[in-house]
Amino acid sequence: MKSEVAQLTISKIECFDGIYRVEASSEKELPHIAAGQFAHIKVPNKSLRRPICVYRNTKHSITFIIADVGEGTHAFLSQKAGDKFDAILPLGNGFPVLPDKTNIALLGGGTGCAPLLKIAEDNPSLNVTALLGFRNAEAMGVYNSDFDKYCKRVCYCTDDGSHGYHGFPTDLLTEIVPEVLYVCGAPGMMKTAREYCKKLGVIGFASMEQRMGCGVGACLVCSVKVMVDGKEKLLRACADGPVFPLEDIVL
Amino acid sequence: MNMKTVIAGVEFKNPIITASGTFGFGREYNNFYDVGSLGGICSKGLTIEPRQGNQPVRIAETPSGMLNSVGLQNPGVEYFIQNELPFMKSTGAVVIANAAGGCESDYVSIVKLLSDAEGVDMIEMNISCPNVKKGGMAFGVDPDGVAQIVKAVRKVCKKPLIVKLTPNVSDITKNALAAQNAGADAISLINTVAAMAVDYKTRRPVLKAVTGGLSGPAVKPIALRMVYECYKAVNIPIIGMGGIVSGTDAAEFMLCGAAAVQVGTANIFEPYAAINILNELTNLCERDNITNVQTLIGGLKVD
Repeated sequence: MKSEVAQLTISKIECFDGIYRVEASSEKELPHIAAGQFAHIKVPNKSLRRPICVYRNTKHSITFIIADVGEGTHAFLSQKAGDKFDAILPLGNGFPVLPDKTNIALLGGGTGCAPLLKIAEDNPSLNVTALLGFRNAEAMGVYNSDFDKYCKRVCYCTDDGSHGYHGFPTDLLTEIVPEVLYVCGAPGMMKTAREYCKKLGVIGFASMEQRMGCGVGACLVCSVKVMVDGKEKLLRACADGPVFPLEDIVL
Repeated sequence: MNMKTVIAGVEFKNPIITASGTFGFGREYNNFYDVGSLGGICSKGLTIEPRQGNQPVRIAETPSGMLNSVGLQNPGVEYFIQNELPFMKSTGAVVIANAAGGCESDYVSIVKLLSDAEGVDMIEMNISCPNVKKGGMAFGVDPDGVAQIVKAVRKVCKKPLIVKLTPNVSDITKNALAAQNAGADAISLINTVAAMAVDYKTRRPVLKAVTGGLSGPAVKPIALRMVYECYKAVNIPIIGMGGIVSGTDAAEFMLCGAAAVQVGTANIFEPYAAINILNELTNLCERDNITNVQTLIGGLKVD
């Protein structure tokens, strides 16, 4: 996989209760980006880049879903339409789509829903159920109705009951039996999903997050704990991940 | 224009070397540009046995720099020699193997192996890592400690030996002299500055290891001062590093006495950093009619 530094211009930036939908354009054709891969984004007045998953893209446009959670994301999100930034992309290993496994489920929480949509969007032949959790109805709005467009069934869940099911999306796992489950969310969600997969023999994949340096695999700072051949190892979220088999992740 | 520089008899086609721990073994950045166009590549810090390194979180952004607490994660020297060294050699850049250890015998054993390995041009002894409990900086802070370990390693080292110094001392020239007198062919400085970052909201240190090493432009003035002091104190070549992000930065280090420079943290910020710095240094020489880059070395005018 060859990564490049893409020159991007923000075309639209919208806020939904602290979660932002950032749309950007590229004059040059963007390389192919797989579901679950990320971009390492340059932030104004910051030295280190920030790793952000690619939510959606076309040949000349790209969309990111970013929560305003720290200094870096705050500085990035203070930009306006027309502002330019660069991003190293695509980086990391995306979600594997397994041949002959057509019944899949997506399990995501908040910004963790973002890397999952492309699995459904890029693979229209899949029969996709999405279980998505949010703080409230407003935060949910960051995804528009994108998931409804590409998934056969979408269950929206909110912590405050302002929309859909009042509770966690993991509560609804008992209602479904997919062949493969793709997860991205808080450690609690990952844990429940891992137990569920183990119990029902469902294949699971999860996308991990860690504070990152170079993004390309050289500096070894973004370690995550993963079981390899029965031993706990520290692997690079950027180059070995960010997607790992759910059963191997140490939480 | 002549961009060549020479350190301990080893010719570099230009003075830009990538610093240990920021460039892997060169493979990742070779996807972005031909890393063989750089003067040299320094390997990730190697130990006899593979090391997992410290628990995450291992990085924190700080004003004009960053902290790391990787803790010498590496695949071990044997794996390096078998699997990474041939690639490094094939790039055409000077290959520097960075060696670390937990005790004197570790350093002696690893340097023996690296010394005999086909393709290693120079060995950089890391006695300055702030992120390991045993060894590392423990040998590098006291001039007598430096002398003792460099002497032991010198006996078995058949390749030019660079000793990498820590800035976490009150007078770095004492350690530089100790390294020189014990047989070092060159010194490199500075390693990272011991430091920490705190998250007020959680009331916890940002790094799991609590403390780490500060690098990036924040440390450049400290590094320039130390290179300048060491240049006056020793007569072996100096490889300067600490927050270099531009060709001008590289030239400043050379004026203070560095015969070559290492680019580290800049690679983490920007994948093309090292090659950009080389191009900027080349353009700077062209612009200012510097026909031989080596004329910059020690050219600082002090009244």
